[in-house]
Amino acid sequence: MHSYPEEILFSIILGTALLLFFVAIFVFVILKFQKNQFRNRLQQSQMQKEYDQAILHVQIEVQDKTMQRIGEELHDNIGQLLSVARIHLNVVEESGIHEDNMGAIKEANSLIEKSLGDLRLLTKSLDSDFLKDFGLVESIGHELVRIKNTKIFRTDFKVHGDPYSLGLHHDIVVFRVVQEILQNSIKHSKAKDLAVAITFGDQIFQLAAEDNGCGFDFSEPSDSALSQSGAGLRNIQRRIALLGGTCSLDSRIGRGTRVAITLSRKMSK
Amino acid sequence: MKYLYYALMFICLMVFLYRREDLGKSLALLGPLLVCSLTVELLTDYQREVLCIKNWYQYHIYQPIEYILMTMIFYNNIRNVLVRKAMLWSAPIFLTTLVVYYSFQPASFNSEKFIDFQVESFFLIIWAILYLVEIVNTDAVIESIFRLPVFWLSFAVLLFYTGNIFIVGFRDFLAKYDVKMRDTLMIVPRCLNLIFYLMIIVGLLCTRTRKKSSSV
Repeated sequence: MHSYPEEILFSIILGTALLLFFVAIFVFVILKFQKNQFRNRLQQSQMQKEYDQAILHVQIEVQDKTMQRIGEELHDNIGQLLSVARIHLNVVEESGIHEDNMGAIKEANSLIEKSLGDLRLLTKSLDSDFLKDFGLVESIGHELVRIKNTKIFRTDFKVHGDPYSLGLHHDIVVFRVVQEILQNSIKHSKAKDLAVAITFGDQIFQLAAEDNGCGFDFSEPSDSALSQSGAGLRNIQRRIALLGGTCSLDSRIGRGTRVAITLSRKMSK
Repeated sequence: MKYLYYALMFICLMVFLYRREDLGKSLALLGPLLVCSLTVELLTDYQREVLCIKNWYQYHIYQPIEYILMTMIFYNNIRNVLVRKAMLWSAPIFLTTLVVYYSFQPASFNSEKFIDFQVESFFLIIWAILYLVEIVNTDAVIESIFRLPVFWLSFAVLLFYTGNIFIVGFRDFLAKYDVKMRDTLMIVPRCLNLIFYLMIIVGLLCTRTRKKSSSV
């Protein structure tokens, strides 16, 4: 006959053994689950990044094609009409019939000539083939010349180091970003001076665009022009981040705005 | 210990009713299961304490109901098509087996011989393991395994039924040779019962609260 304490002891041992066994299974399941979840999160993050890259690529392509189309339409339709109008005015000017109105006719002719010149500059600015053929430095320089020709702004463009291409895709993104920064400055900053400086380093590409405008305060979202500009700047930061670069913004009320972009040369290949 | 057991069952049911909206449809059958369980235990207690009758038939009626409800809960939470099919087929097979068994052994229907519990335990342990394997190997990103109520239910099932399948089988052997040992050994199933309901309560409480959306 077994004594009572032995039975209790046996039950306790059995119960404890069972419990320990299940604790071991519990811990094993948790550890395996966490390991798999870490792998899943990594995969999800990678997929999200690839998806964002694909979306950006499509956005740039659509934007490029649209701009190209607009450029072609401007050149083929508006450009042609302005050229024809100029030809007619030249005929009238050379005929010398309307001597009283010669001043107005010459003025109109000059305005049309200027419009044609601006239209050509604008068309080149919209056409990414220009970027492909002449490179980032030429394209940005060309953009600044176009702005300077309005006689409203003074522009400054500095290039340090030997220029190289970041790859056509990256060049297009950077160029469009610079265009957007300059447009923001023109529309919202009330600046007079616009400056762009590019540094082509061995490992790092740096671009800084600044203006001497009114600047802005991030904590004031009520201004609709500011919020549009803010949305554009966030878009710029997002696009540069997708290229693996960084975009920093420095702006203070009355002190102008400075946007600095940094890209690794390795990541752009 | 009996009163603690009833208290835990009651708390489990109350927590389920309180959190039923957050639990969703996949655990809707847990409510009826808890009600059946509580009813059977109260009925047994009433028969023994008030009527002084020691019946077992109510457990044999409850066993298939418990199996079907538990299996449906796992069915609603497992994605593997083959496993779900096996679960669906197991219910009628289990019922048919019991009907045939009790037809040939009618005396067992009101006895302490729990063959139905042994068979039920075997299948429920398999479903619990399969669920855990699926959740551990899932490709989905899950915030925390501890917030899945079925995870806690699976572990409760594993712990309770694995412990009891061994002890119930061993108990019948000991009943012939050492009754004292058998009676002492029955402490383990009672403890497992308490842990079972405690884990279900934890599972029900850990579920993330569904945010209510406001319409504009």
